Amino acid sequence: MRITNSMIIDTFLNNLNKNSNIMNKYQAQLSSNRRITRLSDDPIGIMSSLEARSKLQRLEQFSNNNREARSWLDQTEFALSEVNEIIKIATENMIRAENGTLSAGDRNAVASLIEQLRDHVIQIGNTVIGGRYIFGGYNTSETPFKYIDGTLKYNGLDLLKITNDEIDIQKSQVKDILVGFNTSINAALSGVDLMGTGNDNLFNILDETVKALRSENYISGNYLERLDNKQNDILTLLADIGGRIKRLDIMEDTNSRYEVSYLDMKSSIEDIDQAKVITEFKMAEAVYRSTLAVGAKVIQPKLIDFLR
Amino acid sequence: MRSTFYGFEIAKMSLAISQKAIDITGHNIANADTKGYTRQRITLASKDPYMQSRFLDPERGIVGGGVSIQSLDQIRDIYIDKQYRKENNLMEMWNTRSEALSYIEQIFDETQDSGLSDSINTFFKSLHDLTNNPADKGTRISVIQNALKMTELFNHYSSQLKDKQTELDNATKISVMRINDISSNLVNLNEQIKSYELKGEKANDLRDKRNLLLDELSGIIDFTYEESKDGTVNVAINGKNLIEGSVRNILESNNNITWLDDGSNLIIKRGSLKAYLDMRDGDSENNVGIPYIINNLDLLAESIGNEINKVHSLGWTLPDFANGVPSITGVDFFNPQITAETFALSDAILENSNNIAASSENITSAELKGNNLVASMLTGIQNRTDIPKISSIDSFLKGIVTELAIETSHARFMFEGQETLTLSLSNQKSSVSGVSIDEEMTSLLRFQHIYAASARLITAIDEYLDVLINRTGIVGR
Repeated sequence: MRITNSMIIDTFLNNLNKNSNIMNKYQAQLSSNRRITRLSDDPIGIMSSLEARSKLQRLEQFSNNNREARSWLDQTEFALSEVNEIIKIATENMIRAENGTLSAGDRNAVASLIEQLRDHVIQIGNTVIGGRYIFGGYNTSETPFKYIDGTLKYNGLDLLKITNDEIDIQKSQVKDILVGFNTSINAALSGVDLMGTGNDNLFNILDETVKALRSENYISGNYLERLDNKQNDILTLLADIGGRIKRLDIMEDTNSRYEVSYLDMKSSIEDIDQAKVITEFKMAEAVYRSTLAVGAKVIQPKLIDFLR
Repeated sequence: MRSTFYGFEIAKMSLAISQKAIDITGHNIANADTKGYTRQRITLASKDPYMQSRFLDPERGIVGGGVSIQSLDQIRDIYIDKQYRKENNLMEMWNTRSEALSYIEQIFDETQDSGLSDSINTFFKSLHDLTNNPADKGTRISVIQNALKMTELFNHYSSQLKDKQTELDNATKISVMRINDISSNLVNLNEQIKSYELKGEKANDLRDKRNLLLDELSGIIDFTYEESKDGTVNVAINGKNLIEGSVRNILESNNNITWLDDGSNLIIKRGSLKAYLDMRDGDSENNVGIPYIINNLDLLAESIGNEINKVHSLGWTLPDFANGVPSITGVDFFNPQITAETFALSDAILENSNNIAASSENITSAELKGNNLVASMLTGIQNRTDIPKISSIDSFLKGIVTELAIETSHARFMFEGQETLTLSLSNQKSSVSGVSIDEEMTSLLRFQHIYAASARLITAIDEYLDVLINRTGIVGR
């Protein structure tokens, strides 16, 4: 095939350009530390990469949510333990009182103690986290348990006279938090569960106990039995809350494992293997230099150089 | 009997012709790097002897009359030309398409942390925060901020795409103008070549110009062409004549490209103009262009906006008891007329963050502010796979991005293949028609020698004529 000067130069320039493009690509990868600098570099990889990114963002949200749920449930657990303690102390003191060997003065002392316990129970019911009341259901901004005109009101409802429908409404005001792809946990305990309702709500039991102890003629009643039942209720609640916290732990574990596998997926597509790219870059550089060297030799000499 | 001054004629012709050959060599060398130049070669032939009559001069050893020029040709392979133009046509088309798509894929940079999927995710994240703390002002404001970022990104992408579309439209108009320019030049050249070649000579340099124009035209549009006997070239585009001899048809570009004379649409199948048109107008899966991508973006914005609005309008806003503002329902989160370009928050939301409806019931007293059921439903939209037309937000966006990536990589791949093919044809053209300086140098030497020898010939003839004229028959003078 007949070869002309312009053909040699054109071929040389084309190859030089191709080599430059290759070097440029590696250089871009190295300096940005990303294997994919444009979507079209790896269309299939992009699909997986987007999937991984989206899942990772969800997992981050679940992690946040888990923390929020955790703080509420931990505090609830603590409150329940406190209530449990209160019942224990009241029970111990009532046992002494029921013995019938206490004087009026002693009974008054026990009454004062139990009065304190009774008021403390209200305080526990009004626990606050981050400016929100945790036992108020949807009522997070107003004090849930208020002692008004001698009656205890919970969210404006008289606990002694509360109806079943009202109880259901209060119990339905849950705080469902999404902590996994298909898992949500109720992070709240309603005040009606904590305190109880009707005549056997904890406040009423303690209040009646105080009144009985302070009366002229002390009549023994079934206060101990009622306190015992209440304690069982509290222990049941503690088990429930403990169970929820355990589920949170499990979800956190599961999500961590998901996170690791998605990070892997993302990294395998998006990140470069530094060593590999540097090696390839060096090779490309070597090819480039030899193109230049050979090209220089070929395009220069002409017949006219050799004619005298 | 031989004519006395016969030799002079032969030597004279030889001098002139070798000088002319050197001129042509010079022309070739001067144009060695000229784009589109085809090397020219002189074809010489020996002259027949001058004979008055075969009967009156029965001498033996009759000598020919020297050298004459038979023709001055350009060395060009018209078959390779045809092939080159066909492949160049495809190459320019894929090149144009690939460039346009590369620009668009830069707009959709989802591999960074600032793309569309990121802004949508962040918006839903802030809805989660709202679910955890529905009455908190800071959380509500953050929902609004993230929603704004999302809608603004949609607006931005949409307007960038529309700008590119306008640019493509301009490119189309400019291409049509160029076609008209080229056809006008071609017609001029046709006339010039025709009148020049009436003399029986080849208009080599004019033909080179014409071929260059045809090469350029082949990049823009697909055409067929034929050279007629009088040296003019007729060009037709998918059945309709662009040029016929000295007559040309002009193209007009409005929304469609039409022929001026009869208003019919231009039929175009390949070439850079086709690529511009496809990118500007392509609106379906089989014809991916800017309208298709904008439609998808619109659909995504519409789906997100409508689904959020549907749920949000079931919810109740936060009241402001101190200022006598009650909790209300039926509030839209986004403005209901939704396209990617006009995607925006509703006035109610922009006015007051209390208007975000997180609660499922009328908040008649402060005790109900913690109701977060509607906020929770809003977050659920991100996970739904039954959204009409798009099934799920995540998968639809992934589809848009992946489709774009595949189209772009396909266009680039086709372009690179065509480039190699076209380059190899271009090489073949060079091989046939290109000037080799080395070759020309040897020609130069050859004709130099012939010139020198011919000059010597004249000296020899001069010497013997001198003997004949001045020194014959002077005995005894």
